[in-house]
Amino acid sequence: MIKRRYLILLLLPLAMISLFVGVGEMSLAGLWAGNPQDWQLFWTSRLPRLMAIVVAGAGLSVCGLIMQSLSRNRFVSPTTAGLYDCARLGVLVSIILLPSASIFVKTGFAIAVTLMGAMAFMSILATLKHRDTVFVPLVGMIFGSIISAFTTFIALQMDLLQNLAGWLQGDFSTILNGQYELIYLSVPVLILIYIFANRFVLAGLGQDFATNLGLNYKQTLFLGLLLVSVITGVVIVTVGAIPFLGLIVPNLVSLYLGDNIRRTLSHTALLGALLVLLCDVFGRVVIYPYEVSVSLIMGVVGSVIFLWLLLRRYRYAS
Amino acid sequence: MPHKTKLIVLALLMLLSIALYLGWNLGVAWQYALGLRLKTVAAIIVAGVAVGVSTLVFHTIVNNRVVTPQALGLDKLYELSKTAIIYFFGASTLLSLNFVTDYLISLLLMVTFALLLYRFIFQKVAQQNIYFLLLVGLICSTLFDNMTTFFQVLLDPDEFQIAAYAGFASFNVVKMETVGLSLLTIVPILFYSLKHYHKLDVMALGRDHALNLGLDYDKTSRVLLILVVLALASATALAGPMMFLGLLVLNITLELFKTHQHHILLIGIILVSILCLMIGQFIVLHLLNFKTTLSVIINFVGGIYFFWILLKENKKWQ
Repeated sequence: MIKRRYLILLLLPLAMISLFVGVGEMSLAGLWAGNPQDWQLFWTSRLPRLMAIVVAGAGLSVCGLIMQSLSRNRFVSPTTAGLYDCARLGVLVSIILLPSASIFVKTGFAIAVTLMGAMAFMSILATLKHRDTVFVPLVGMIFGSIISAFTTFIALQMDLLQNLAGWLQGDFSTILNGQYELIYLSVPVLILIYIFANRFVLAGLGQDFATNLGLNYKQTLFLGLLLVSVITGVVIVTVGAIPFLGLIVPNLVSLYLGDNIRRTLSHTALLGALLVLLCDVFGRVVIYPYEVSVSLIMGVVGSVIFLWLLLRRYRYAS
Repeated sequence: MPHKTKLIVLALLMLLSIALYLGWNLGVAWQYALGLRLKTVAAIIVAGVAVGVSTLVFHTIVNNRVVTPQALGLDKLYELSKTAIIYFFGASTLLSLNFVTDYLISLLLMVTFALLLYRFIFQKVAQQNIYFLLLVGLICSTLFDNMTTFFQVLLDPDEFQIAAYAGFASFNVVKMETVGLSLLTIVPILFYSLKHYHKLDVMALGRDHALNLGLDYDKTSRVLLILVVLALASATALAGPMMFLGLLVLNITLELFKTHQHHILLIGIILVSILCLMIGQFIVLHLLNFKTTLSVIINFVGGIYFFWILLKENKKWQ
C-alpha cells in the first residue's frame, strides 16, 4: 500500500520543479533577493499554472471515481461517458447564442449540457439488461461520438471548427493570472464530494439496496452527476479536456486500496494531481523551449494504461 | 422477392441516383459541371466497391454485425498521417506531394498498424469477446484523434483548413490519379473474393465447422484480413475516414437479403455502398450546398444507428 505521505512527498518536489521550468528567467536566488521581475513571473504565470494543474488533476480524477461508483462500472469516466463532448457542445452553443458572453456564461452552458449528457447516459445504462463491463464504456464512447459529430456539423456550418478545437485540447500554457481563477470553483465541489462520499458508496450498491438503507437514490444520483458536471465543465473551459485521467487514476488507486471511496478519495485526488503534474513537466521539457500539450501526453499515456487495465481484467476473466 | 430481383432493383436505384446527381440543376456551364461530377461519381463507385468488399469480408471473419474495420480506428490513422505530413513538411508539401508517394505512405501506415493490432490483441480476443475488440479499436481511434487535434492546434489557420479537408471524407475534390491507384488495388481483391466466394461461405460457419469441412481457416483468414486492410486503406485514401459507413451498409445489406450466400451479399453490399455514398453526396452538393462534409452526415446517421443496434442487441440477451 502506498501511504498518502509518500504521495505528498513526491508531489512537493515536482511542484517545485514545475515552478521553475519555463522559458522566462526565474530563479530561487532571484526570488530570495526580491527581484520584482522574478516575482511578477511567479505570480502571473508559474503559480497559477501549478494551482490549475493540481486542481484540475485532482478534480477530474475524483469525477471519475464518483462516476464509477454511481454507475457501478470500473471503466466509466468523463472520457468514456462522452462528457467532454457534451461540455464542448455546451461551449459551442454559448458561442453561437451569445457570441460576446463572458467566461462564466460559457461555463454555465458547458455545465448544463454536461449534466444533461450525464443524465442521459445514466438513463441509457439503466435500460441495459446485459451490463458487460466492457460494454458500458463502449456505449458511452459511441454516445460521445454522436454528440461530437453533431457538434462538428454545427461548427462547420458556422466556421467555428478551429475555435472549438482549442476547447478540446487540455493545455496549461495559457493559464495566466486573472484568467484561470474560475477553476477554484472545483475546490468547494471537491469538499462537497468528500462530505457526501458515503452516500455515493450507498448509491453504488444499486437502487433497491440504497433505498432499503434509507437513501433517497434519485436525489443522490442527481447530486453526484451535478457535482461531476460542474468540475468537468469548469475544467473544460479553463484548461481543456484531459483524456483518460478520470478513468485510470481511480483504477490504479483501487488496485491497492480497494473500493471504499472515503478511504480512496484523497489518494485519488493526490495521484491525479501528481500524474498531471508529471505529464505537464514532461511536456514542457521534452521539446524545450516549446511545449507539448498535456492532453496529448495524457492521451498517449492514458490510452496505454487503459489498454493494460483492460487486458489485465480480460486475463482474469478467462 | 427473390434475391436476383432485389439486386436488379438496387442496381436500378443506383443508376437512378447517379443520373440524378449528374443531371440536377446543371446550369449554363454544363460541360464543366458534368466533367467534375463524373469524376466524383467514378470516385464514389471505386470507394463504394472498396468499402463494401472490406466490410463484408471482415464481417465473415469476425462473424459479428457490429464490428466493422472502420471501428478499429484505421481511418483515424489516415487523418493523423495527413495532419502530421502537413505539420512536419508544411501544407505546400501535401498539395505538391507526389500522389503515388502519398497513397503508398497512407497504405503502408494502415497495413502495418492493422497487422500489429491483429497480432497482439485481435487474435487472442476476437473469438471470445467482441466488445473488448471494439473498445480497443475505439481507444486507438481516440488516441489518433488526440494526436491529430494536437497537430491541428499548432497549425496556422490556412494550413488547418487544408488539414481539416484532407481529413474529412470529400468527394468534392477528386484526384483521378488516386482513383486509378485505388482501382488497381480494388480490382484484384474484388476478383479474388468473387472467385472464392464459396470459401467465404464456409468461413462464415465459424472456425470449427470450417476446419471440419477441410478449409485452412487460420491461413485463409490471415490472407483475407490483409485484403480487407488494403481495400479499406484505398477507400480511406479516396474518401477520408468514415467511422460508421461500414456498419450502415453491412446492416442494411444483411437486413435486405437475409442470406449467407456470399456471391449475392458481395454484389448487394457493393450496390448498397455506392447508393449510400451517392445519396450522401447528393445531399452535400445539392441540398446543403457544400456547407458540410459527407463524413459528418455519415457519422451522425451511422452513429445513431450503431447506438440503436447496441441497445437492441443488448435487450435480446436478458
